Amino acid sequence: MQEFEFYSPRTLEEVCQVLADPGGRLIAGGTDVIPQLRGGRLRAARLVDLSRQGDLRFIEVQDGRVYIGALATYAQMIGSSLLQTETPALVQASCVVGSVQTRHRGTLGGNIGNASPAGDTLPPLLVLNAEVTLVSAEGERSLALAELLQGPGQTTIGGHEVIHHVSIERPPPNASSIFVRLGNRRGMAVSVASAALVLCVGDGKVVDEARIALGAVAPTAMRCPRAETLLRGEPLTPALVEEAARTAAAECSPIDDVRGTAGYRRNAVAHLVRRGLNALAARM
Amino acid sequence: MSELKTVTRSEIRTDAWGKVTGETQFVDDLSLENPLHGVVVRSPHHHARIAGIDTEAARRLDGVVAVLTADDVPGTKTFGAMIPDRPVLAFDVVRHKGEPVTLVVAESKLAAGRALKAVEVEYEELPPLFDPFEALRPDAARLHADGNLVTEYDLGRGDVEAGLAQSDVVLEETFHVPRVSPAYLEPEVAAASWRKDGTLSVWASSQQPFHDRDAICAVLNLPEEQVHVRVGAIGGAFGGKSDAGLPILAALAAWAVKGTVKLVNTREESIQAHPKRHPAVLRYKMGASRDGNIIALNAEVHMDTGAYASFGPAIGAVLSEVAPGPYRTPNVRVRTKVVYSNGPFGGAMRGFGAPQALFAVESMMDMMAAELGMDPIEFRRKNLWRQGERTPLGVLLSTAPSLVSCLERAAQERERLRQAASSPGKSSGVGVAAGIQPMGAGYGVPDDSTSRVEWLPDGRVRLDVGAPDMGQGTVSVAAQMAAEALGIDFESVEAAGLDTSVSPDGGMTAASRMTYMLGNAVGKAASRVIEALLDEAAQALSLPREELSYWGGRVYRGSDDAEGIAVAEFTSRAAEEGRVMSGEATFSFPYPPEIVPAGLPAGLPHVLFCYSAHVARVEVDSELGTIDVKEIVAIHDVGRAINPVGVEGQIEGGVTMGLGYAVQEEVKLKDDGAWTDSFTEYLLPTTLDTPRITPIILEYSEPSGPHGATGVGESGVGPVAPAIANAVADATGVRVTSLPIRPEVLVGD
Amino acid sequence: MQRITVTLTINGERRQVETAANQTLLYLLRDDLGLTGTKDGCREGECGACTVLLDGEPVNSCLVLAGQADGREVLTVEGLAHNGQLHAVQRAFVEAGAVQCGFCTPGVIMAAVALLSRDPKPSEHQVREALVGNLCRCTGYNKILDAVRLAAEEMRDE
Repeated sequence: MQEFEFYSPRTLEEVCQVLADPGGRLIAGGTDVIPQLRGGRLRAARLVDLSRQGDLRFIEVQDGRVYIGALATYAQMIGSSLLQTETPALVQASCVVGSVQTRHRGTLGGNIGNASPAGDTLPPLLVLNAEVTLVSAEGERSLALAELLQGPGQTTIGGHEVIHHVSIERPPPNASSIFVRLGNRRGMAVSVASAALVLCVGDGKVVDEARIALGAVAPTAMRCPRAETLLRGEPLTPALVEEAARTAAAECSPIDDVRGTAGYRRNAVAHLVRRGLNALAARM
Repeated sequence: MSELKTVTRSEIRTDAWGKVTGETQFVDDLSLENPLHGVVVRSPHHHARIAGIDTEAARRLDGVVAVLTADDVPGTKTFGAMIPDRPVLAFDVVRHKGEPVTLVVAESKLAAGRALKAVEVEYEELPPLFDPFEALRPDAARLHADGNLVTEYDLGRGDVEAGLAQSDVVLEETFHVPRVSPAYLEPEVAAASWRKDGTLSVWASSQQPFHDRDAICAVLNLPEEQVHVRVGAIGGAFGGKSDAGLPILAALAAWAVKGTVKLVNTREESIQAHPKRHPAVLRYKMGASRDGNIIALNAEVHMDTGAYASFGPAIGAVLSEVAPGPYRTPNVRVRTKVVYSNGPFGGAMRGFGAPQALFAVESMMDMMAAELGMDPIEFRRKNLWRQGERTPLGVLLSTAPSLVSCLERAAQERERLRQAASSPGKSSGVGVAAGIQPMGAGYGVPDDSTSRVEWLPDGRVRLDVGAPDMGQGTVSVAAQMAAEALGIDFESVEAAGLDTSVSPDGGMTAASRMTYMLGNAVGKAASRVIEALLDEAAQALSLPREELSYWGGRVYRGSDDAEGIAVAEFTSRAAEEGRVMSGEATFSFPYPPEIVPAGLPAGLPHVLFCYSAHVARVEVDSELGTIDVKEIVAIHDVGRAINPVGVEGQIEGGVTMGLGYAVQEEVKLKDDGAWTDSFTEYLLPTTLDTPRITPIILEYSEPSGPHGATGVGESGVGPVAPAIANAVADATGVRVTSLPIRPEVLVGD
Repeated sequence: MQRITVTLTINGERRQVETAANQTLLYLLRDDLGLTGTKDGCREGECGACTVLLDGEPVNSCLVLAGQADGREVLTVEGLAHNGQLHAVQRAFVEAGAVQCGFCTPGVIMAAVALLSRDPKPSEHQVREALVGNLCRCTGYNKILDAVRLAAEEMRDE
């Protein structure tokens, strides 16, 4: 294990102060950071621990938006009846991350900050048009998650900034959402391809709103604007579902890696999106 | 026939309680005096010349006690299970990523970690060879002085070319099986302590303490009496800890610093630098008559043993023996080449060649059955080995192989599994495979087990089987058999700790041999310890020896003595007078001359086999290509289940290892040149991947086995992958010929 | 290398430990406190051999920095028995034949204890989910599942 200094500030202000000096990296649940430190993929002279920031574990509704503190763990999100109602896709995604042990430590902020192309909370957050609020010694700023994610393991988060919370607009009452994914084994699997979908269908089966986000098939989690445009305003027929699924598959840019080939992943996306749309349509 | 007291009962194993409280000490848990920490500097390259090693900077760091290279090895600088081709610490050249180059000994983990980074090794990279076919080309780089072919086998009978020509149907296929890791939960660990009296105590998580001792003695130029290897609890081994690598390094370090040193591998080191199951390419050609008789089988096998030979030659032998399957094919030719490469080296791993061979032959059987329009179980039954005939290697089958019964039961289970409703959107398939697992080290290889039974002063007994329990419960099972032989309670048998300086040599815990060997040795040793007791009693009672008899913990005088005298009377007296009454016996694996053919290479043939048949039900998602294994029924003839719960546990564990081999596990080379050496990429089956496994125990008593027992340690593994592949073919019509079965193949990508 | 002082409650006992800043909870337990029941199988949170309860929740102690355990409560396998009586889960593992090499055992037991304290009547699937983070290479999990069911029954009877 690398040698590093360890600081566990009591207040968020202190966290921001310590982060103002270069060489510090944040650690919350540690489920990504510690393996990365061990493997040398992350180097840090100083670890700044967020464990004491109990104020960042909230899950609440305010003014039509759902707010989730950056330190909310997967276990908390799974157990939240608010999220189960408002953001089932996010809950479903949380359920597949790692193991029970991982889920009691890993946090939403960590999943965002780690910015893995396969990060499971990211597609659900994208289809919920999530905004991320960052704080630092210089103040506060918010930006769309889509803007924040730049590439595998890369974000626009400054070294001095801390994710404070994520906010998502409450989906309309007739919206349905789902998260589906594929891994190389049934338990503790990194996603090989994943999809989060939101669907609102009105009279005559016309699609009022459709949002599709994919994971593990591009440098970052991504929305599928062409597939979404195809669906909006059209009656939801099997043929349309099929076309949307194939369009979404064409929009992504998967790679070959140890978990699967690009071709397999692209094929998987088409099936996952079709199944997701059909499952949502069946609920309506 | 008196009822058995403890054998065939699922006694709670003697070591279970300590393991659930965390009290059981594995090597890394031991409280050692002033332990120093050893860490290994390993090659980052697959293949490179060592231009220079500079340890100066590392040695000057605080807390660093020694930095050792090959130059510091006083005795033989190489070792190996069969061929001494593997350097203790590399010199001249490194042949695989992760190969040990320098050994750092430091006062703390912190100091050791710093020194690790400060050692400077200069390498000249060489092109790596990963393909056994490439490695055999005349222009290929020589990885070892004698070239890249470690050994080859050419075995069989009859005339395979003529046989194929006569066949109505000839099928050809090439199978690929991967490199997999035993992946026991406890990574390798060894500690050693140089005592003031000049003896070296070694604690190792090892299946082969006597071999380790001998290897250490050769490396350190020490006589046998000076090195004591002790084995306590082992956190899983499966063959991978039949490897002297880490014990030697710990011993070298302790000897060099004249202190106590412990080395613990990380998971990454374990996957890169300790034995793997050999990957192989198996090219099969099978010919059969229209009415379902197999006429000929030709197999050409290339086995990649990686950078060092380890048990490669022996595994090549077993693979060749199992390659034709348990079938009476008259014309057989198996040519197997064991080849070096720059991959992680292959060595012993549960199955020892049988899993590779069974995947190929049991897939071919289903393919041929389909081609002939025959039921695959019927096709197997028609061609099975028969009592009174000889196997393709020439072994006379003096008893009827119980495979007929295994397959009969498999047929019933297949019907039951075929009734199972398929999940929506999935295709269900059921497949069967037969299995044979050779027992023992093979003809021509010393295969002995010595056990010692000793009376304790209180009339209980201490049993020393001289072989480690790697988790399967062997020692406890041996205790059951000792208790049975002595007619005493299971609880009255105490298992001794294994120490090569005092324990008898039980041989390696391997080759599905322990229950069979220990049971026989223990039985004989028990007879002798009873003799010793009766001699003592005769003395004590001043009675002629012939008038005394022993049963169930008591000595009887003549036939009228209903009460008898408790053993403790005599054992306590002897103890007071400083006498120990023990009985020791050696059992050698029997090779009755009439059944063993002449002229085979050492290690062949085997004459006892564990027979099995597996039935697997899978559900395939044909769009995504994913496979759910829904149930596996594993039918195993174990001769006699000495401890049924223990036998079930071995079957269930073996089947799960076979499941991983079939669908998930592979040590792969990634694009960045690294091996998949962590559990995020090397995927073991989790609780959500492993179905309910139904073990069915058959007991066809083996005359030479203790209470009729044979073995079960390895046999759970081999039939799983072909049963699953056959089930996948049943579900989808797709015949998979490579393991692990990737979803890409099932969706035609 | 910076040293830190961690104050935490381990198996009901308050302890103050001075250790390296980069120490994990796993090695604080094993090396600094000599509690070797918790095992190291992979150091990256993929095998569960290091599972302990942190404030009642099952976590991989190899992924918790010692400093992060400050002020918290830790329960390890050594803390399960009371007054010489083993926990029902421990007894059930022995009785169901769920112990082979024993290396995964403490971690699995802790995960099972955590499950049963939350849910006294889990379905087999729920047990599988709760133990998905605990790899076992010896048993194939069948008898582990039997053991948890047995323990649940015994705990309900108690």
